[in-house]
Amino acid sequence: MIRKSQAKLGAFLDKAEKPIQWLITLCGWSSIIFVAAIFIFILKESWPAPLTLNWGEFFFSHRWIPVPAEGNEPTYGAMGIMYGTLAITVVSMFIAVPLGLGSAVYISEFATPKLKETLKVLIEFLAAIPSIIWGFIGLVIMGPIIQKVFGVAVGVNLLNASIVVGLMAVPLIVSISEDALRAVPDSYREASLALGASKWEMIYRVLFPAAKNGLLAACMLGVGRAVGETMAVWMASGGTDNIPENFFDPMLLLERVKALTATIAGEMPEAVNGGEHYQVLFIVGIVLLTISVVINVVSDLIIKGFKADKA
Amino acid sequence: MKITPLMKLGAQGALTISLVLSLASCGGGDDADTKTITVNGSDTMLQVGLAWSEAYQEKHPDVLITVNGEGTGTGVTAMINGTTDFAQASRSFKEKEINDIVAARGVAPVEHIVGFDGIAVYVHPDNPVKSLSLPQLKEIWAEGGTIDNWSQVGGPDLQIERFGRSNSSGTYGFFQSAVCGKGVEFKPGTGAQPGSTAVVELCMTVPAGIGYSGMGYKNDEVGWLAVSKTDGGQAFEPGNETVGSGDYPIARKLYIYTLGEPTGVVKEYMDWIKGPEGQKILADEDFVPLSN
Repeated sequence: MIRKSQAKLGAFLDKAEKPIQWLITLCGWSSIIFVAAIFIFILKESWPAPLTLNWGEFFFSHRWIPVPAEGNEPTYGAMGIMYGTLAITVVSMFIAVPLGLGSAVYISEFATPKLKETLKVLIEFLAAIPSIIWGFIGLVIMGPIIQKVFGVAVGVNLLNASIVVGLMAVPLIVSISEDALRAVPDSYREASLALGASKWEMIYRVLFPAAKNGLLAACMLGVGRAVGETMAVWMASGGTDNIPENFFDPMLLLERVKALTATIAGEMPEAVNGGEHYQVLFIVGIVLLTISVVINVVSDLIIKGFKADKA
Repeated sequence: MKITPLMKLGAQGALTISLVLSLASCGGGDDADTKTITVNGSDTMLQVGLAWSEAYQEKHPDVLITVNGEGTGTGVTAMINGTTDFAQASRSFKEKEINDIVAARGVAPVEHIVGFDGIAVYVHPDNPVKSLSLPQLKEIWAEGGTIDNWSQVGGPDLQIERFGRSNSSGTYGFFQSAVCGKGVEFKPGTGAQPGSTAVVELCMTVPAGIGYSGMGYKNDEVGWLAVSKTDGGQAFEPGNETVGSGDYPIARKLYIYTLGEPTGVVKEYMDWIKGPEGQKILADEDFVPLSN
């Protein structure tokens, strides 16, 4: 009896083999289909503006006036808002990466089991704070503090937005890099300590190289978070699309900036559906999508490079 | 991009649903001759539109009113598509928009003025400057203007920090045309804030700040300027009387557009809005009523 039913099941599975294979192949390809579909959708919504847009102005001017004063022509100079997004991303990573990696090392290597659990819960809580609350903190609490500490006129600026976004990215970086560190076998730790390495040398020379793919992936997810963050950045960044004269002047941290995401969020609800402004906002969306794709591909190549080193 | 429109949609969906539910629970509203009015348009007027519809439906259970408000431009689109015959607007329709509506629907929209909105110029409460003239405001806000420091208008030696709204917001467009004038843009470096609340919040915390927003956003911790039409002229603070009389110079009209002359239930609703009850609700929402 049992044997008979087993045989039946076997026959069924034999027949089902092909459809199941198809289904799984489809699942595998689905993400590619989704990405392509999103690209096509955004491109379709932006059409035909890519043909008529003054691309030189788009990339090299920071005069963004899509709804001009009566009698003027609209100008779409997006250089200032692209600079804003890139600047917030870079500066926020200077805050988030050391903080995130440091706290992952502490949680995985130094904390007692009880403390570890508490810290992990708290960090998950940090990740659950809605972005509008972060924006509110930036605008109402950190703004006045930055004004006092640095003696600047306006506290919503690049530094404020970067701190907010950096703190938002920290939980992501901590949880993924902590996983990566935990995945390193204990035998590595024991072997290096037995050879006389100090704990710091063990972490720096053994754990980090062994876990570097995971750590890099954690940082890249943090970068993705910073590029895409909208509401908090909008509230904490000040919203002006100026470009600094000197990119190495630390004072630019205290300048106000404006991000791509905030521009789309602020102008889309009022843009005339299907009008030129609407289409150009979708081009801004394509720029944003391209930035995240480039970051992902570059980080992938870096990880592949690491693997090639190993081999 | 993800957050704001979605949040707005969510809020509107919830409001529409709650309106429908509250109406259904009133009972008696579901007989065969329920009349429906679909309101769309200005996001500035969304709140007052909702307040009107709620009060009116309480008295007239046979009328079903749904209210949406993403922007004046959305109201135009809805009228072209035939999804609304009743569009609220914080600016008058442009010629092209009227032509598009005539082309699509065969009837011209009719303009009704239902109230006024004063745009206040907010400053830090400690700012000793209490009044400015329109020409001075233009020098502060407009591209090429010469006033960049509060000391030039009798204030402390601080660089003026300007806070405004997103480029496509109705408030931005109105303040630009009222203060900078035709064909003149804002000075580069005028910050675009997420909303009126953020503008007022920054004027509360930044000693050198100046910003524009509806007069309803005033609180005790922020200051605002009295504005005169000309240098040396009498300056008026924004308020119901000064806006209604036209003394306060930075005020705009609030409009409702109907497709053709209103008839039947739409006419009754429009008359009620312009009447004492509707105007009282408008005043409760911090706008300025018609007869003041």
